[in-house]
Amino acid sequence: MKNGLGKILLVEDDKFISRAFKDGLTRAGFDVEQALDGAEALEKVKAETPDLMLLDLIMPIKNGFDVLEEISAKKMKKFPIIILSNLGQELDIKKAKEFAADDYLIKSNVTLKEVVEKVKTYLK
Amino acid sequence: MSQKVPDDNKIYSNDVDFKKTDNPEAYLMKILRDAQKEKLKLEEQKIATLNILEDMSESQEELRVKFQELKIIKELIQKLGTSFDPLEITKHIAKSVLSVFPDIKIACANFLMFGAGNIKNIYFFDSDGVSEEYLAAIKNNMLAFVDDCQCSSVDEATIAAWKNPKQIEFKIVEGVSRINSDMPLSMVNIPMNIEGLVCGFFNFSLSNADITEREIRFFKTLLESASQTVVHIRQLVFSEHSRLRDLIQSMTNGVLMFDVDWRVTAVNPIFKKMVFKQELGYNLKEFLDYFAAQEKDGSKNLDLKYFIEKTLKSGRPTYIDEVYFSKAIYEASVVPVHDYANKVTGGAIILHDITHIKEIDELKTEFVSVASHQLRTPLTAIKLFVEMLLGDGVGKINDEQREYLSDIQESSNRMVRLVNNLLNVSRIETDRLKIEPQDTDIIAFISQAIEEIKSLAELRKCDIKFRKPKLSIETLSIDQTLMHQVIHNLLINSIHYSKPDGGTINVDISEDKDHVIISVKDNGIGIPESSQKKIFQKFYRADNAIKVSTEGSGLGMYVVKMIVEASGGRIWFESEENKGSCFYVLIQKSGMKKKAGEKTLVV
Repeated sequence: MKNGLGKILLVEDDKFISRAFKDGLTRAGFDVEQALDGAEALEKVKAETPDLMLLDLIMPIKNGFDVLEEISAKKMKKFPIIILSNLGQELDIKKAKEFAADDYLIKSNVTLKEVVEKVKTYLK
Repeated sequence: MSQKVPDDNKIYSNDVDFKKTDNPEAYLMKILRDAQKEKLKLEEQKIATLNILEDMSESQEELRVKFQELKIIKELIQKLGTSFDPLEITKHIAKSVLSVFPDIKIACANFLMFGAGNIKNIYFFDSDGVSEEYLAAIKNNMLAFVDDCQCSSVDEATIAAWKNPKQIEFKIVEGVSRINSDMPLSMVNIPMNIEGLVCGFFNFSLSNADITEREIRFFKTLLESASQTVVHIRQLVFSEHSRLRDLIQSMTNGVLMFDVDWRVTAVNPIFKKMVFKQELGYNLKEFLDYFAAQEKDGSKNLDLKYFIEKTLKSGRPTYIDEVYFSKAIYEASVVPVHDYANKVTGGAIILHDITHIKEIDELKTEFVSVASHQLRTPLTAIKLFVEMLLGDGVGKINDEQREYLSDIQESSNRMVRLVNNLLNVSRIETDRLKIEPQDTDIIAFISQAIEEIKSLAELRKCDIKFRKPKLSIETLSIDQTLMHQVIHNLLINSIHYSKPDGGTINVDISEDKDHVIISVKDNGIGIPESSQKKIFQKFYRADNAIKVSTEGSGLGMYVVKMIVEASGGRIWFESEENKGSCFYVLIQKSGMKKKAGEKTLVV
């Protein structure tokens, strides 16, 4: 069931944070598909064809950088990717952007509202 | 020789008894006879006197020679006192003998004292040089002496070498071997004893005369003095050596000492336990190759050979940060070892085990990472849910609920800031913070920082005024992240510690020839004099500040000071309680000092 504004793949290993973002984004009018680790995220990229991905970096099994690397390598990047992580160092940001991440938000610094707005700018 | 005493003890007299003289002729004859006797007697006396004089001059000569010999011995002892090189000692002895008896030829075979390396050598000292035949004759004489000599203390290898004369080589120390027909006329071998052990012997030979008893006596005295001196030196060296050994043995650092030929001369138990199982005399180079091949996490050890060469050459110690061996990490240093004349005679490798320190360091880093991720994750969840509750999406909440939720939100924000501050302090303290200055319009930069904080200032009824003077420089080279933290912390403090009914904050920037000075002045509660010394201390908060607000980690000013000083600037303040404070930050016009590092601040 499409909500209209677009389908977001939310990759986040902390179930509370995942739920908070999911609820917030759903309420804002998006469809949200959750993945709790990098491997699941890669499966869902293929299965769900999301319009945008919110990606955490520190995760079990496959981390966010692994996901980015595989997406770039397999030329699966057909949607914007916004990093949503507590890793906030310049080096991390630079590395993520080298792997074709479009934007970078630091989890503990942003509000739900800011995330929703950022997503909206990419899915106009 | 003694004075000759006449056989006849009768005493002759000139007092002739004329009355008893009947026959003058006979009497005259008697007188003449007496005179003759008297003359002979005088002659004898004269000879005796001459003999005495001769004896005296002879013993005087003897005294002179004795004195000369003593002087030579004394000089020898002095010379021996400053050397412990076996060949040098032999040379000194030979020179001393030659200075008294220039014609003598000296050969020296020394074994025990001078180590296994020299047993096959005979050192030959002669200022003129002799023929091969002469040397062969001496060799045979010395071999015969060794056979006769009761050298019970000589080891088998030495005896074996001596039993096979072909193995014995002559080393001409002075003079040259040359062809002449001289052959030794007389030879004498005198052993040298050190602490009761025969440690070598000298052969003295002459081609033109016999060696006298007196000369032999002198040689013996000389050798005895020399060996006594050597014993004395040995005792000194041994006591020094054992002191050094005890010191090295008891050290908690690993110590390995080596000589200029890279042979190991001492290894303490700790060093052996750490890395080195080899025995003394082992050549260090092989071990160092092995050592250099050790690696940890893909990075190979530095080649210690290079550092040893450097130290041996320069005579100065070198320090190497980290070396790895058997899963342990060591701080290594190479220090030179000098002799009495300050000549480098070797060195020592000192290993200090820092594995434990590194482990703690890693734990700390790990903790910081855990703090960064694990502490912030639940905080993020709290923040997000509170935000949703405060938004109207999940249903209406009453005012009291709103107030409580706002308190939760503020508390979690504070918690995030505190975690971030702790992370920053940890980064600054572990020296991992990088400073990357770039040319920045400083006035625009400060204006921006003020702009960001304006809503908070308005909330607290604070008016921030920034006088924007025209500076002689257009840009200043600053690390924007760090400088932002400095300005931000100063502004936050001035807002927090303004008086409850509001205040005025004056931000100013001025310059002199080499510096730019930024000042933030408030008319708030000020810093009590008793707190002024501690204001930059970690976790310190002044008493009046705690009364105003319990919020505040006591880290803000500490971070500011650390950043400013790490980048080559200075910070100070003027303050009066209840009147306000003014903080000054000075930055060199040449900019903040660049520094390599892995981390920047968490903001």
